[in-house]
Amino acid sequence: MKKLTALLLVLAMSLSLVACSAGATAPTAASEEKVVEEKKEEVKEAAPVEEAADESWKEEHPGWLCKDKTTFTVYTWEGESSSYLPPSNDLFFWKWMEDYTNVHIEWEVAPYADFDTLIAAKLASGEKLNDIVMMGKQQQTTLSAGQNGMLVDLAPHWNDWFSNVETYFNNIDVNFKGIITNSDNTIYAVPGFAAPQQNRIILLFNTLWMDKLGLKIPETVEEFEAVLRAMKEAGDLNGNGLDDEIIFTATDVEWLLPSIGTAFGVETIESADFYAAGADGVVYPEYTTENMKAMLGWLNGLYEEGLLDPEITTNTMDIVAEKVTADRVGVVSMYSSFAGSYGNLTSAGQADPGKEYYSIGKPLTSKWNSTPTMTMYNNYSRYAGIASTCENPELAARWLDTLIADPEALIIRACGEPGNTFEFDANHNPVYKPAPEGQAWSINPLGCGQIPMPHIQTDLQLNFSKSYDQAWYVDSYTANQVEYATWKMASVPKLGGYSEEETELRNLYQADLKAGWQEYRNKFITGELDTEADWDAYAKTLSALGMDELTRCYQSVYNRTH
Amino acid sequence: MKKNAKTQKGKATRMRNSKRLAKIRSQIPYWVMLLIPLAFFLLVRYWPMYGLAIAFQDYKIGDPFISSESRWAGFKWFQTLFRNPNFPRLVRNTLAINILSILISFPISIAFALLLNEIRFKKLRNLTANISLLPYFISTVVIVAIIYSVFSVDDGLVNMVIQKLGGKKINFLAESKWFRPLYIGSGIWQNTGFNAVVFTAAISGIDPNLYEAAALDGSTRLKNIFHITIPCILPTIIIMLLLRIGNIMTVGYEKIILMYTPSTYEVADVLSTYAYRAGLENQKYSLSAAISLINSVVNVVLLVSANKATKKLSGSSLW
Repeated sequence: MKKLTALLLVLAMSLSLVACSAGATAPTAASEEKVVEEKKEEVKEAAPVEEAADESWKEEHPGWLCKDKTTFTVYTWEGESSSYLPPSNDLFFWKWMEDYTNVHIEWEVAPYADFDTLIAAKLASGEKLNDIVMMGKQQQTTLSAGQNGMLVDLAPHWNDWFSNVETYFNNIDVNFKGIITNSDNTIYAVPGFAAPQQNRIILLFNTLWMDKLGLKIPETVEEFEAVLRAMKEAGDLNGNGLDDEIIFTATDVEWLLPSIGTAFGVETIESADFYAAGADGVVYPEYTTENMKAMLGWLNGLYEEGLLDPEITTNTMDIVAEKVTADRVGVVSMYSSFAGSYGNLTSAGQADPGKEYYSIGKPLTSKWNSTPTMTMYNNYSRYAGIASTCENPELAARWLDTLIADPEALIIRACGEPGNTFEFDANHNPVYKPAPEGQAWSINPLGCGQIPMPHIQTDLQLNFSKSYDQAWYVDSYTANQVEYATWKMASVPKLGGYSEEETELRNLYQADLKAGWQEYRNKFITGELDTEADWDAYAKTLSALGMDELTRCYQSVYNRTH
Repeated sequence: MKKNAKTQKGKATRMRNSKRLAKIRSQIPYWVMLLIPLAFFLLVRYWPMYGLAIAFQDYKIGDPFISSESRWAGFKWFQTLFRNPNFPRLVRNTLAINILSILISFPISIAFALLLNEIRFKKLRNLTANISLLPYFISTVVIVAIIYSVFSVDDGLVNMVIQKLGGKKINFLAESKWFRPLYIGSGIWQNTGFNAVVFTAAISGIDPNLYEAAALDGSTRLKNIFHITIPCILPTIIIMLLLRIGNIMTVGYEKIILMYTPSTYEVADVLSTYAYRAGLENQKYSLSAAISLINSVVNVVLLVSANKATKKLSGSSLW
């Protein structure tokens, strides 16, 4: 009997193991053939949005996209706001979206930090894609997926499906559609984030330390150095009796470049590649310019003097936030939108959140660039695509269109929760309600929290922010707009314009090249290598890693698209 | 007479067969149990191997691994790898990290097992063994977090001690020369207890009479270690060494990916981390597969060679 029981147990275990393994293994030959067949098929003609004979529901619910509630699955990254209390988190927005569109969403959410890796693994695994898929930060992923028939080509239906997006983005950039269109006239994903972006990485100064030392916001590299030295010499500025002050820090070396690079004439467009095109239309790699060399040498000087955070090459966003919270940081290169939250994280900020504890700095000038220049993010990001396996791509597209650019949705995203943070007046204009006494609304200026789906910066958001505790941020932005020039550069297109061969070439060289640059860059800053003695070896290494091939590739893309 | 003999023989055969059948019947649960690892290896280890075909294709996401439409590319990705200017560095780092790990951590595990065996108080011996075993069960992420907090240049324990003693802070995590000591050192701390288990088990299997006889001859404990314990566990040492050599081209990339920064690529970037970056970060799946295939082939060659060498030298081998 015992043996029989053991036998049964073992049999059950074996069967379950086999079943699990079979489920986990790659698709069978038959299923592969089916996939091939599916890929061969034309992207299915969009099923028209359900239109019943009785269309009274459209009058009753103007925002509804379908009469019967429809469900889509969405793959996206988690929003930072999920841990915030309402109205700073975006839960109310998604509830509003469901009521407004009559579309229910089932979310599959992945960590933001690993999203690029996870989406690449998901696409490569052969598993069925979610109906709507965020495509991560690497545009090649979108292009590869689209060119392999995994995403719906949105181009043939663009004007019909994305009317709100078309109107809204065209107001911002007339070249918008050209930039997201590929060289074969396909569009595989729609961006949810558009230029011009007022939120940018810039120097944020610890106001308490600056006031204590009677310092002013610097305008030149020399003045900036003087500020850093004054902070260093002052010693125990946070008054905790320890020598733990960090004079100047950033999340990573890359986060220093937008705030410092412009002063050295390094064009720091946010890009996977460090390429730019000059006014003469010649594409060049930023990696090996004399300006880059000057900047890295200057950063090395700061590092050697103890003015730059010794952990600059190993920092993370959380570590920097920890340092700020502990009142240890003098100057931080960070998105300007963080000035408010960083200030409120300090002990003084927590005691009195109404005041400004980190001031947004000005763009620096130097002998390399005498024009105060701010980095302009004239690119598009947060692309979302529709899987070719989606049963109703038109409805999915219309839902994305509503999310990104429907006027009603924009108001909700910008102004918060109806009835809580604002109310509509008789003319349907949002009127903000005052925050509860002793409190301030803290809507993240990046959107309704960090809406994990595509989102855009809107003037409405700025207005809302201005109405409340972040007015200084808006003022600073407005002042910057008036006072400072932005880069007059013509950027290399981020997504569109690449042929299949060019995408292949980028895939082949891009990661190696960037890794090579990062390695040398860090060593130049920490002094392991010398910018004078080792620069030629560095340039040779990058050439060997494909820098010249990529330059030729980008030049040809640029020539074709401009 | 003949018939009788035939009957006898038939009886004997029948008895033998029924005995064999009974034996097999009694072993059925064990045979079925064997199915579990067998199924595991077939389904999880061997069946996915057909995916290696993409190493010889221009594979793109969404493609089936093998079909009539596969874009075969021959040895293109192998050539791409060999032409990569970083390839010699990747191989050098892979070998250096593994060989240093074997040279340093392997003898430490043996020495630890020998020392553990010399502890006379059983409770103390068990306690020591258990404590040394604990780090093995800590996840790699946590181990790396511990390394970061202990060796941080900002507020790490080690740098605090260095500063208290009047020294200058060392940026352990960003300076490339510290990567390997930290990687191997933390590996020793994490794995010595676990690696020593096998040797401890081998030591416990040594006939106590050998020690008693040696004691009668006036042998010291140190002499016992060198003349009894080590020779007796030598086959186990050789087998464990062979298994390590069989994985010499394979480095656990998770820990390296968690530990390395661009500043330390020079000494930390190995074939598996490169395959990870190429495959998952840059969608060069065929290149990743080619790297993995090369890794496995070299590992097999090394294992077979080492097995032959040890068989010739010591008589011990895996097969």
